Amino acid sequence: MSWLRTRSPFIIASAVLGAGMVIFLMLPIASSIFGSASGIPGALEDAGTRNAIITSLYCAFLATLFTMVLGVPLAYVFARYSFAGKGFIEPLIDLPILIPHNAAGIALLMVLTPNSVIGSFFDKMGIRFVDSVMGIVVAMAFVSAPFMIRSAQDAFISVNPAMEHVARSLGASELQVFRHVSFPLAARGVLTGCLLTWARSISEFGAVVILAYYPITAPIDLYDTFVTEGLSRALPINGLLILIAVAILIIFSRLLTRQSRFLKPVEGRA
Amino acid sequence: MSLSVAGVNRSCGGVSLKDIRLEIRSGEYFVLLGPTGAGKTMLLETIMGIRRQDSGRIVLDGADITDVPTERRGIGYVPQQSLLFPHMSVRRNVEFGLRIRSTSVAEMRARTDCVLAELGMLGLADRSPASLSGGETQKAALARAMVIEPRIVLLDEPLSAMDPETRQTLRDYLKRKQAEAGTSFLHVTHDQIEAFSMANQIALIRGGTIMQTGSPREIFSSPKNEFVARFIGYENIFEGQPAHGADGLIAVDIGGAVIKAPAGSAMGEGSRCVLGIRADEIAISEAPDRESANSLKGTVEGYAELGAIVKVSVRIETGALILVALMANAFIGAGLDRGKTVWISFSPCSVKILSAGSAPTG
Repeated sequence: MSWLRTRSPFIIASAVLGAGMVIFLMLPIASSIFGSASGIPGALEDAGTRNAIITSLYCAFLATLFTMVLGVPLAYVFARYSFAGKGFIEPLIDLPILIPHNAAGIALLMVLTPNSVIGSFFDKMGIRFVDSVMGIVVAMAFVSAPFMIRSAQDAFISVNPAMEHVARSLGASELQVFRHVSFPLAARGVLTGCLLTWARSISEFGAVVILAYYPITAPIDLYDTFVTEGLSRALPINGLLILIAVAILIIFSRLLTRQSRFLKPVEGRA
Repeated sequence: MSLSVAGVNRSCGGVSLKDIRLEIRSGEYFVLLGPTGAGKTMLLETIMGIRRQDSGRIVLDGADITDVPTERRGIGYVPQQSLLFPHMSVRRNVEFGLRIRSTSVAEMRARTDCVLAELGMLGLADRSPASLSGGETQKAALARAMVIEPRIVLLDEPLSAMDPETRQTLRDYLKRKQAEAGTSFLHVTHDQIEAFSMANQIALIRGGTIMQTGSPREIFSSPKNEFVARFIGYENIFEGQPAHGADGLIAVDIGGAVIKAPAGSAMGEGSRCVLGIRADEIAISEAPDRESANSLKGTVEGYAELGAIVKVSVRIETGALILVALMANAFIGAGLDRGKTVWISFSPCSVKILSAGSAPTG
C-alpha cells in the first residue's frame, strides 16, 4: 500500500494497463504449455513431428544465411548512400511484412513454378522450389528479410560515418573499412537481425504452405494434425512448439548479452 | 611535403567554399583560423578526398591528388571528436593504419610503442577508448594519425575542450614533430591564441572565403580588413573620414574626434576609411599626455574584470565608446571608478587602417 501512496495516478494506471497486456500475452501461452505438458514427451517421440521441427530449424537457418548475404550489403547501401529511386525502393522492403503471407506464397509460386521463366531456368539446373527444402527456404527468406535489412540498416546508421573517414585516411579501402570498422560496430544490430529473421522463419506458415507443403515444417505439421486428427492430438505438438520458442527466446537474450560484452574491448577504467 | 589548394570551389547546403587558394610549404605549420560555420572542416574534408570539390585542384608534393581516393592520399587526419574505434584497444587503434599496410609485427610494435611513448600513452595501450579521458583520447587519435608517417597531417580543432596541461603537451609534441620530422601540418581552429602560438602561416577564413593569409606577425600587425581585425582581437573599430595629413600621418575624423594614423597608400582626403586599435595598445591616465599624437578625453563608463586583465570602457566626448585593456594591478592602482574623467592616449602606429576608399568590409 505504501507503494501506491508514493506513486502518481499516471504511474499506477500505466502499471495496471501494462499488467493487463502481460496477462493477455502470457495466458494463452501458459495454458498451452501447462494444458498439454503431459503429452509433450509423446509428441517429441513422434518421428514425423521431430522431422518437421528439424526441417523448420534447418530451413530457417538457411533462410537467415541467405538474407544475411544479400540483406546486409543492401542495408549498408541504404544507410550510407543516396541514389535515384532510393525513396521508392526503400519502403518496398517492408512489403513482405504487410502482405498476407499466403499471398506472398502465391506470388513466389508464380515466379518459381517450373512453368515460369525463372522457375524453368532453375529447373534446368536441377533446382526446384515447389515442395522442396529450397522452396521452404525461399518462402521463409521472403517474409523475414525485412527484419534482417532493417536491423542491419539501423545498426549501420548508428556508426558515425566520420569514423569510416578516419579509417580511410589511415589507408583502408572501402571494403577494409567495412570489414574492420563498420561491420564490427554494427555487428550487434546484424546479429539481432539474424535472430529475428531465424525466429520469424521458424514460425512461418502462410507462404511455406503454398510454395512447399512438403517436406513438412513444424507449423504445417501442427496444422495438419489439427485438421486431420483434432484438437486433442494437436495440443501436445502446440505445447512443444511453444516450448521451443521460449527456449529460442532465452538463447537469443543470452547471445545478445554475450555479444554486447564481446563488443567491449579489453579491460578499462570506469 | 607541400600542399597546394588551387581555386577550390564547393557548394553544399548552407556552407560553400569559394575559390580557396592555399600554399602550405614543406615542414610548415599552417593554421586555418575562423569562426564556427566558416567552412574549415569542409575544406579539410575536401583536401582529404571525403568530399568532392566542384572545381579546383589539390596538389600534394607536386602530384595532383584531386582524383586520388582518400586512402591513397597519404594524409593523416585527426578529427575534432577523436573518433577512436570503440571496438579496439588503444594499441589496436594506433596499429590500424600499419595493419592495413601489412607492416611486420615487430615493426608495428616498435613504431606504435614509440609514438605512444612520445605522447605519454604507453601505459594506456591496452585500455579501451571508453575508459580514456578526453585528453587521452585525443592523444591516442593523434598517435594513430602520426604512426603511419603521413605526408601531411590535418588537425580539426584538436586542442579544443582539453585541459591546459594536456593542451600544452600536445602543442609541444606537434611543434617537435614539425621540427624533427619536417612533417607539414594543417591545423584548423577558431582559437586565435592557439593559432598564433602554433603557426608559421595563418589563413583566416569566413563564409567559405579566405580573408587573409600571412605569418602570425603579418596578420597581427597588418590585418587586412575589419573581420580579420575583430577576429584577432581589435576591439576598437571606427569608421571615419580622412581630413588632412602631414609628416606621414593622416588625421581621421571619427564623428567629431580626430585620430592620427599612418597615411594609407590608397587613402585620400574625402574618402571613407575604417580604423582599428587594439585595447591593449591604449594607455589611460588622469591628465592628458601632451607627447602623444592621439590623446582623447573621456569618462569611465564601466569595466569588466577578466582575471589578470581588466577591460575598461571609456566614453569619449564625441560619444564613441573605446575599450582599454589594463593589467589588473594597474587598474587597481589607477582607481578608475565609474564616472571618473580620464584621458586615453595611443600611438599613431597602433592605429591600423583596415579599409580605405570604400565601405568597410565585413
